[in-house]
Amino acid sequence: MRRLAAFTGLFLMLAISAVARADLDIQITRGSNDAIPIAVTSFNANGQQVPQNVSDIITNDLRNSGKFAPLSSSNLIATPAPGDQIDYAAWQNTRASYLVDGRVESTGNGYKIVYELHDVFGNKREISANVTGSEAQLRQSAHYVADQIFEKITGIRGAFRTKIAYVISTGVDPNMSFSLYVADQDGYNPRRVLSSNEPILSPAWSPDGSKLAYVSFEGKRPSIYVQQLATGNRIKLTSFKGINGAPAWSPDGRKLAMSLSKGGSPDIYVMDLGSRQLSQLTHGSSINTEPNYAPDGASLIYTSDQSGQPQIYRYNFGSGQSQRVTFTNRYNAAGHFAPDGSAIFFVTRTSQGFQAAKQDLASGRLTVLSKTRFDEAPTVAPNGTMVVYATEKGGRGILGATSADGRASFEIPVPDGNVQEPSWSPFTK
Amino acid sequence: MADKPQEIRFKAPIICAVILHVIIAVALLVDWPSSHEPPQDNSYVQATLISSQTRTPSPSPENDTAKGEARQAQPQAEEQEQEQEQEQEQEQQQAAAEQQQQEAAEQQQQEQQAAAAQQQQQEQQAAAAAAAAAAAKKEEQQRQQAENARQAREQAAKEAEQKAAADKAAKEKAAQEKAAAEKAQADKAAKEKAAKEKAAAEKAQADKAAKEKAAKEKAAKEKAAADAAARKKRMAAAAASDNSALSSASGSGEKNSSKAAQGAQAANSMMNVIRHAVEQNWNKPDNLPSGIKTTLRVRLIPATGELINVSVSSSSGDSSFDQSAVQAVQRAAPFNELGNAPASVQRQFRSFTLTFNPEDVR
Repeated sequence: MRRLAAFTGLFLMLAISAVARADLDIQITRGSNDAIPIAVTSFNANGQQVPQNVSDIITNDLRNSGKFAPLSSSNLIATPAPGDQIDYAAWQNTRASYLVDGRVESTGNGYKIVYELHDVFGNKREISANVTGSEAQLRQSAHYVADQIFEKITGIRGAFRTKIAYVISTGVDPNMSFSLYVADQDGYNPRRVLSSNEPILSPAWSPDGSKLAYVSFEGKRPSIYVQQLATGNRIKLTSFKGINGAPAWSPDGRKLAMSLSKGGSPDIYVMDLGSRQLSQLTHGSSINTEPNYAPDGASLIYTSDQSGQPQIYRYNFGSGQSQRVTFTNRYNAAGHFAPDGSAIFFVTRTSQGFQAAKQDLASGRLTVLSKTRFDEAPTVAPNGTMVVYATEKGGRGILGATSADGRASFEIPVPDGNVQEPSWSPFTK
Repeated sequence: MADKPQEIRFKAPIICAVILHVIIAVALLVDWPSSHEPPQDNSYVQATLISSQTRTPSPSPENDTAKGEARQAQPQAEEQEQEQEQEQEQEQQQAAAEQQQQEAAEQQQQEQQAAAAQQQQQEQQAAAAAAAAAAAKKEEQQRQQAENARQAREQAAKEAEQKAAADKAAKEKAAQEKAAAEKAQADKAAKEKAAKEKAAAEKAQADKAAKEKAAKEKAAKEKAAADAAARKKRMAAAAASDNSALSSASGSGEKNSSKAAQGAQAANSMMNVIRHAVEQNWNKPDNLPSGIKTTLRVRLIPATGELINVSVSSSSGDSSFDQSAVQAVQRAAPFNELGNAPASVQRQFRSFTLTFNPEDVR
């Protein structure tokens, strides 16, 4: 009996393992690099006049991220309203993976956006929510909706409510004027925060987004200033002999890295903002400038011509040593870290000209992101998905933008004049 | 009121300094002759003796002189060596005087002392000369003449030598400068060369990478084409075998085994169909960490290939990644090809797993 039981047990085990082996597994190792198709309905307001086209704002945000391919409005089969039963099978025929629908309601002193996100092939509602704000905040409210959709689908925090600072120059030398602006990331609502008849350079956001450090040539000599955006109050931080340039905040906001030539050639220094104590990081006769902190604060990158051509180097605060980072082209400058520290964005010189590029730090692989020829000063969105850079079009300085994956590229509208030195804000709030 | 004592106080150090300078100057001047003089004195004394008793004791004192002078300055020692055979008090004196004059020119403060010393020495010289002249007037005159002539010659020689030395120094300097310039040029050229080589190497590397990439892409395309062709073939074979299997229901053992092989082939091709459809519909997120992997459980209606259910059986930990995989299956379904497959194959695809394990991350 016992023997029989053991035999039966063994047989069963074999049978089970045979069944398990028969269970198929298919390996998926490749995918499409296409953006995710998404449908955004018109967000109509029941016939009411709304000062902003909320649907367009959301659609542009999603498209500019490079991760979404919004369907053109002619491909939308219906305009369901929040709460409606969705005919998922019908929407599946549009091949849209997701559907965003909603409407705008007037609240008397502002507007409420009611919105929903549907997983079309999963046949389910992913988000059903609303956001309320004043009329002046309507654009920001729409960006908020885009942020929520973006994060729900990609798992990445949306950066559509962040800002970009840039400098606009107008007039012809010697009658030029310079203005420092802060605008929404899509270029809307530009606000002038400083004007001068002398150049303004290198605006840099403090990590909390409340202050801008910049270089101003007021009084004909460069000085580094720090300005509170809310009040406009500012202090002159440095005014050393020679160059006072390229301020860059440490991630904790307590230090400012900069390039000073008070010792002869421009070198990288770090100033403790509390004590105003300076420490010098680089030495020698080469030009060292454009520092940018790694997100963990343990290192910073900077541009140096010590090899004869501008290349990007990484200074490690632990070892006090610098190592060259870029090797692919002969000119690589103005580096900025990706927010996760895995890559750097910079300007590289290719056979096409000066182009915004990205280099993965682990593999060293360089990817050219832009199609323009005179790019400078790329700056990265705080979620790492988009890059903005100053470039040229028709002999005029403009703001070019590209998704970090290179899929989407577009232009950011700015006030009249030549735009230079963009700087993307951190997350606010 | 308070100025006066200050003035006095300031005057005192100045006076002290002046006195100190004078003392130093005198000490220097006295030192020069004094370090000269002991040998020179000897030589003077002996010179007078020599001049009278020309040849007798000359070697030893002259050696002394040479030593003494050698301690002072080399050129003088050289000169003296050249003139070993002759008495030359005057010349030495003159040379010393010349040197003093040079120094006097350098230090104005010492001028007076220098002049005084010179005078003194000249007086001594004169006295010595007078004594010598008194001893041997005629000889002296002749000698003086000869000496003057030689002096002139030597002066000329010395000047020539100095000129030669100066020329040599100038030449050396020029050579050094040239060498430095050449070195700088060479360094620059080397740097440029190194930069060029590096650029070339970088370009070569980039070219190589591009070529490799192109080759890889080509290979991938070819493989995809081959895969597609193979799949078509297999599907055709599977359909054929299915038909033949259906038409000849009762088969021998041999036929059964070949049917099993054909069934396996059909299952394989069905797997390829599903893999291809899912990959095409997967909007793979970018910037994925390497090694990310999620496994889905998929249930189909065997007769139609329609999706009954897809769920995450082993999560990657990244819900967006999991969701993108689920979406890919949902978008790829239905897998209509399953309806044409043999029943044995349909049974296998009633429930199976899909493992999303992207190979090309970042």
